[in-house]
Amino acid sequence: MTPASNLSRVPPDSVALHYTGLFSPQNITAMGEVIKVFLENQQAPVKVRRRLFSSFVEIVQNILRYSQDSRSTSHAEQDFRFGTVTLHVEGDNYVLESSNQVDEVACEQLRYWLDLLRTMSNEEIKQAYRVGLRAESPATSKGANIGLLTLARDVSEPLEYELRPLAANGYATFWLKATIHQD
Amino acid sequence: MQNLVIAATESTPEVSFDFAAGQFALRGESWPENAAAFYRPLLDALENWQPQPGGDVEVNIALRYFNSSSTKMLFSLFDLFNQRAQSGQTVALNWFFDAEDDVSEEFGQELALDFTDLQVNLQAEMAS
Repeated sequence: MTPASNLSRVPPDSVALHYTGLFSPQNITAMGEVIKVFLENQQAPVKVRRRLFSSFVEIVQNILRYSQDSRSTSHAEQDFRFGTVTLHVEGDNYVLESSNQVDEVACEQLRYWLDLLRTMSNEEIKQAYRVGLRAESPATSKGANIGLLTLARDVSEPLEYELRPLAANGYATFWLKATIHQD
Repeated sequence: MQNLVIAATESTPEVSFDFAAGQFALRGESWPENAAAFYRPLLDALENWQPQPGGDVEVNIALRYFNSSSTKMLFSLFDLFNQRAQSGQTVALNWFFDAEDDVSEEFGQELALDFTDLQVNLQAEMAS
């Protein structure tokens, strides 16, 4: 798998959006608007726009819910959590990358489900999504959550990821790459 | 029962629940961070609704985009309408989608499979 540090080799003019910092519902909405305008200007087909926008929302809402990091804060019962998200164009593909810290439990669950999703065909993922729609949410909603299934359904290539434990704090860094073809 | 009308925001749909007329609609986009908080009042209102027997109900859903946590809440919403249909009301669910949006079309097909007491009509005619 490609390490996240490859990002530094992305030519700056191919980057549509890059954000590192605390995520809030408000700045997610604002970033979503930017991505919509970018895709409209690119005159991307409706199905591509939908898949890319959907993937973006699932990725950043997961950061907002699950990122574990000392760099977090809260305001009016809303947690703001720390992470990074980038959208760039790579050849004929749109690429979303994200990075944030997760705790040990999330680390194991992510590894289990992402490894499983990577072995599944498109049809198997669709079928798992249909089942997931009807399933009661697990208590933590961290299981084979409908968010990961939605992401797996929308991407054009298997999700790439890396989980690297951090000795210092017991957390792991989670890097995720979602690729969506332009046509 | 008081109508429920909520204006659309960037991440939540316009809501129009006219209980007396049996006309219900969601239009726009649905990707709030906390979908349960947005949909809970809608579900509560529907649960408390005591319609006149025999009245027809029409539900129009035109969502250009919905996130994964909204899909769960939409299933709960349609389940309540399905229960109304089981207790004798005629309930039509019109699912509007962009003709090029296969994800939304497939979601509509899933609804038709699950909520067999609703008359689910897939309508490929949303203006994008």
